[in-house]
This record gives sequence, structure tokens and C-alpha cells, in this order.
Amino acid sequence: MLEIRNLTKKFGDKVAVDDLSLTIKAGEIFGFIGHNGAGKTTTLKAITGILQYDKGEILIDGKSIIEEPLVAKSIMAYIPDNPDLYEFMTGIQYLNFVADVFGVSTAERKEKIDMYANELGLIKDLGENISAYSHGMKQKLAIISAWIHQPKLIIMDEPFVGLDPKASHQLKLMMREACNNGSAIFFSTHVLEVAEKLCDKVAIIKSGKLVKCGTMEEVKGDDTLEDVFLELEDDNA
Amino acid sequence: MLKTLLRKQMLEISKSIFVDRKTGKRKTKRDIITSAVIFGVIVLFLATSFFMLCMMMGQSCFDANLGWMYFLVVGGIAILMGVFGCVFNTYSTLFLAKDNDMLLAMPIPVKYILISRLLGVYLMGVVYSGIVSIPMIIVCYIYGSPSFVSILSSLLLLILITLFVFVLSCLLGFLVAKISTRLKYKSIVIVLLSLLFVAAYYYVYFNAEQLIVGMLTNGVNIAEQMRVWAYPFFAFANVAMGDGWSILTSVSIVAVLLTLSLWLLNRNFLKIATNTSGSKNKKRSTTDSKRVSVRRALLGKELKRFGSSAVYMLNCGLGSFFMLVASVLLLIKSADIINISTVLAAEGYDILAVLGMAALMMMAAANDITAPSISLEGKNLWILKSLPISEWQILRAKIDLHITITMPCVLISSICTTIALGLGWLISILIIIVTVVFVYESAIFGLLLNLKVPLLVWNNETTPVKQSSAVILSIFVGWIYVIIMAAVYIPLRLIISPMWYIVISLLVNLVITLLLWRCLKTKGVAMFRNL
Repeated sequence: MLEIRNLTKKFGDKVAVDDLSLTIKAGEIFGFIGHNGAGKTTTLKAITGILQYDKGEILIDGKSIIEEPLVAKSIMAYIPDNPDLYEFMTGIQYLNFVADVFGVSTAERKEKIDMYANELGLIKDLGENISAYSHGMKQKLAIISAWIHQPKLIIMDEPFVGLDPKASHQLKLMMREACNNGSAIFFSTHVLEVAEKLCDKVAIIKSGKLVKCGTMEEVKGDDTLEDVFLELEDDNA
Repeated sequence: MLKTLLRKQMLEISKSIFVDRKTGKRKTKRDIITSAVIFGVIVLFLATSFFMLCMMMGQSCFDANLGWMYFLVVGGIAILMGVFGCVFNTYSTLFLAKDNDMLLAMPIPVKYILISRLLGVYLMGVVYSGIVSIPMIIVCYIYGSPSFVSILSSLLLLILITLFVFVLSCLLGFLVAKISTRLKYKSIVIVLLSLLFVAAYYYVYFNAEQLIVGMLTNGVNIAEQMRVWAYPFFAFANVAMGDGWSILTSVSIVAVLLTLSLWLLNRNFLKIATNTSGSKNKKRSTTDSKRVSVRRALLGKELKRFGSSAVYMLNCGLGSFFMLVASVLLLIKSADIINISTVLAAEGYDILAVLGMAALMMMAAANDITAPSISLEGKNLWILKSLPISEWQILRAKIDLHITITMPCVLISSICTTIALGLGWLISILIIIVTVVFVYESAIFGLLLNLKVPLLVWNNETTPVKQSSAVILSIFVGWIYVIIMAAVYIPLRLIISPMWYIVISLLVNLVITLLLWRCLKTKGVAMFRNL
């Protein structure tokens, strides 16, 4: 579903992502972990077409994000680390805007909005201006907008930040359900316990380079993910 | 503590002068000097205009021994100028500052935070009112007979004007804040109130000469009436004349008003600054779920942004309002205009049709909706970039917004203008087509400018809407272009008829528009991709 080949992104002289390659298959929840400034967000933004990169190739379901960006984006959804949404819209207006762009039918969008907004506890606030939303509410709205068009690939940057425990639990269920239905999820997180329990595969990035990648068992063995991560940080320090 | 806050406030003000908003780095010496020169030229231009007005008024008033009337009128203009320049900045400076939450969470008395913010408001008022009040004082020294007392009292009037501007700015800023927290369609209400203010301002401006002559003729009667019915204004006008009782009254009134407004702000600051909810929670509307095309969805989004921001509407869409007002005025004054035209034509100046076309283009150029539209995406840019829409669709939506807001008014105004000027049907159609083409031209030009110099990092939307180089360049280049187009015809009138000149203008504008369109589709799209 997602193939990253030799991705390199520089900001001036600084190499943010260095020759990174990854493959994520349909049905997988893939965790992406690394220290602050390791290059996680840069990688995720490059995948979603927000950021242009210097070298390499990114294929979404076989389509290049550079050569066929619209086709690639039409099967993908992105939730950024800080959900800065249109504050001049109400929640429902924003969801309808996203649904219109993805061409979701009236009946389908109504069903999806009702279902996910109920599950995440946002249904009563959809008529409110986004400017009045808390961080968690914006995050919930971003999640609904990502799920509204049944994407094949979901890219999320720290999706659990700001969510209440119930919504956090609900998101985990939604992620598993989406993958059971054939979608793939690639998300970054600093909450290693969540990654350990939720992910099928995990990749660890340090200073732009991929230092470990594989199934959860391959990466952590008999240790905890936290131990492996801290050890890798020390090894390369 | 207050000292620390004041220092922080001064740092913030100086940052806007010495730090590049785009990069966050300190500006180079060259950039600082360039900005200072541009600012200086604008201030000098405005101050010179008011100086000329003061010279005209001062001579008449001081000759007629009606110095108080001079101070009443010019002082009033200084106050209007100060308040008009400050009111929206007051609202955003006081209540929308991004560091309000951070400061309120610290052990700082709320009144200290308020006082430190008010310093910025006061300084802004000093700059705006000073553009009128300083020329006022200089002219008073030229035509009046300056003595030690009159110099001191005129300086006191200067201070009183700045304080009165400060009081009014605070009260109006407070009113805007109240409207913003209570009303559903607050932006529209703010725009309407502002337009009323602008209309009143221009009414006084255009009738100034008549009003001044009337006041000079009836100066003694007016003075008597004011002494009885509007003593505070009379006293205010007499401060600079050195009248002790007037000074005492004016100082007392300003002191009381200042105390009251500070008390009011102190009482309400916390409540307004921490209010996050705009309108009442409305129920989900099922009609909201109707599916629309991507183009309509994008235009809808742009319209919502435009309609949600009074600052955006007032600064970038005011041309539409002017066009409608001008249409009505033109129809009313049609006979007078045709008479002037006949006289001009008899003297070899058959330029009315070209001037009409230029006036329409000038008003259309006042709408610079696309010029800040990319910058306004700011931190929301990721949304458009991550959606399956092409860069061209995004850019076209911004042009669509400009056309939606501007074109209906341009068409109404063009039709009214051609009727009022009594032009033939062929030349009328040509003028309408030229203006329509020009609307596209200015929309694309503004958008290209914004793509070239985007300002995506800002704390308050007034920064991209009012202070970005794309906005300033878009308006001034548009106006200069139109002025040149009209001016070129004056010598050419001897060899080209108005009809043919308009045909040439149409062709020129058409070619420029097509070139800009092509540039937007190629370079513009690439520039957006690299943002």
C-alpha cells in the first residue's frame, strides 16, 4: 500500500531524512517512532505530498505522490500532529467540505458522520465553530474527516495527543477495524506502550536514518519496545 | 513587574520594525532603512495633505478671529483619524493577543497586563492623530500670534487629543469585542458599522468647504450656541487659545473619561480575553449535508473565510461598496456630468468615456481579495496540500472568490456609469468588457504577488491583510496602471477617438490578462507547490 524508496529530504545543509526505505502492506498498522527532530513528521509530510523531497520515491498503492498526486491523495487521509483546522467553519461544515472534495455521497457521509461523531462523543458539538473547540475536539474532528471517505492508507502524526481515554480507546478500535477491512495505517507516536500493543510492525528512526524496522517481535524480541528504543538511542549517541 | 511587562510590549513593537515576519530573523540594515523610508514617505504625504488643509482653514479662521473654530474642526479631524486608525487594532491588541493565556497563567495582576497592552494602543493613537494635529499646531504658529502661553496651551491640546483618541479607541475596541462575543454574524455587523463610519467621514469630507464657509459666516452665533448647548466641545476648542477655564474643563472631562474607560476595561478584560465560544451551540442542519462539486466546495470555503473576517472584508472588498455608492451618485448627478462633458468636448477634451472607464477600473482595483488569500491559509495550508485537489483548483477558487465578490458590483456600476455619461451602446459595451477583463487581470495579479511574497506565519490576520507587501503592491500597482492608462489618452486624444482608445485598452488588457493567466497556471502552480 505504501512504498518509500531511498527518501531523502534536506533543509539547507541539514539532512532531515536520509535514504529512508519502508514498505507497508494493506491490513498493517505500522508504528513510526523516534526522538524529537528525528525526521518523523518530515517523512509523514513527504508521504502526503505536503512537502517536496530531494531524492527517492514514494508510491501509494503503486501511484507516485509526485507524478500522480491526485490519484495518490484520493485514497489517503492525513491527520497532522497539531490539528489546525479552518476556524471560520463549524465542525459539520468542515466535514462536508472534506466529503465534497473526496466526492462522498450525501447518504454515505451522513451515515459516517453520525457513526464516528457518536463514537468519539462529538455529535453535539458539530454545529459549533471550530474556533471554540478544544485541542482534543479538533483532533476528534480531524479523525472523523480522515475516516469519512474510507481511505486505503491513513497517515497520522501523534494521533493520541489530546484525546480523552474514551476517544483514545475508540481510535484504537477504529484503526484495527480499518486495517481488518484492508486499509493500512502508518502513524508516529511517542507513547511506546500504545505502539507495542497496537502495531503489527514498527520502524525506529534516528537523525533521519532508519535504525530498525520489522514486525514487533523482530524489533523488540523479549524486551519491551521502550528498552529497545532507549538502547538504540544510547548506541548511536 | 509592570516595568517588565512594558519592556516586553516595547520589544514586541520593536520586533515588528526590526524583525522579518517571514523568516523570524533580524532585518538587514538595508531592509530597515527601506521600510523606514516607505513609512516616512507615507506619513509625510498624509501630513503634507493635512498641512495644506490646515493652511486653508487657518488663514480664514485666524483672519476672522475665530481661532477656536480652527481647533474645533482640525482637532476633530485629528481625533477621527486617530480613532479610525486604532479601533480594530485596539480590539486585537487587547483581547486577541496570543500571549494572553500565558500571561494570565502567571502571577501577574490583570490590570498590569492591561496597562502594558494599552501602552501600544496609546502609541498607535499618537502616531495616527499626530499626522493631523502636528500640522495643526504648526499652522497655528504661522497664522496665530504665538506667545509663551499659547505655545504651552497648544501643546496641552496635543496631549488632550492623544488622550481623547485613546479613550475613544478603548471604548470602541470594547464595543467591537462585545459585538464579537455576542453576535452570530459579528463580521457583517462590524463591516456595516464601519461602512456607516466611512460614509459619515466622506460626507463631512466632501461637504467640508461648504461647512467651513457656513461656520465662518455664522461664527459668532455658533460660538454662542455651542457655549450654551455643547460647552465641552467649545471648551476643547478654546484650550489652545490659552483660556484657563476651558483648559480646566477639558482636562477634567478627559480625566473623568479616561478613568471611566480604564475602569470599564479592567472590569471586563478577563471575561472577554478568555472567552472562546462565539455563538450559541446550534443544532446540526441536515441541509448542510448536500453534496456539491469540488469547485463549489472550494469556493464555499473561500466565501466562509471572507465572510468570517471583518478585517478581510473591509480592507480587501471595500471597492465593491464604493462601486455601488458611485453608481447611485452617478445616476443622481448624471445631468451635471453630461453638461461638464459637453463643455470639455467643445474645448477639444472628448475624454469622458475614457475617464469613465478609468474610474471603473480604479474602483475595481480597490478590491484586492486575492492578494492576501494565500497568506491567510497560514497554518491551515496542510489541509489543501493533503487533499486530492490540484494546485490549479486551489488557485482558481481564490480567483473565483474575487470574481464572485467584485463582478456583480462591477457590472452594476459599469451599466450605471455608461447610462449616466450618456454614452452610445457600442462604446458602453466596450467599457463594460474592458472593466470585466480588468477584474480578472487584477485578481490574477494579486494572487501571483501573494505567491511570490507569501506571509504564512502570523499571529493576527491583520498582518497578511493590511501589512503584507502583496496587498500594498497589488493596490498601488493597480491604481498607477489605471492612472497611466487614462493619462496617456490626454495627448493621444488629438489622433485617436475615445472608441478606438478603448478598443486598444481592451486589447492591451486582454493580452496582459492572458499572459498573467498563463504565468499563474505554470509558475504560480509551481510556487504554490513549493510553499
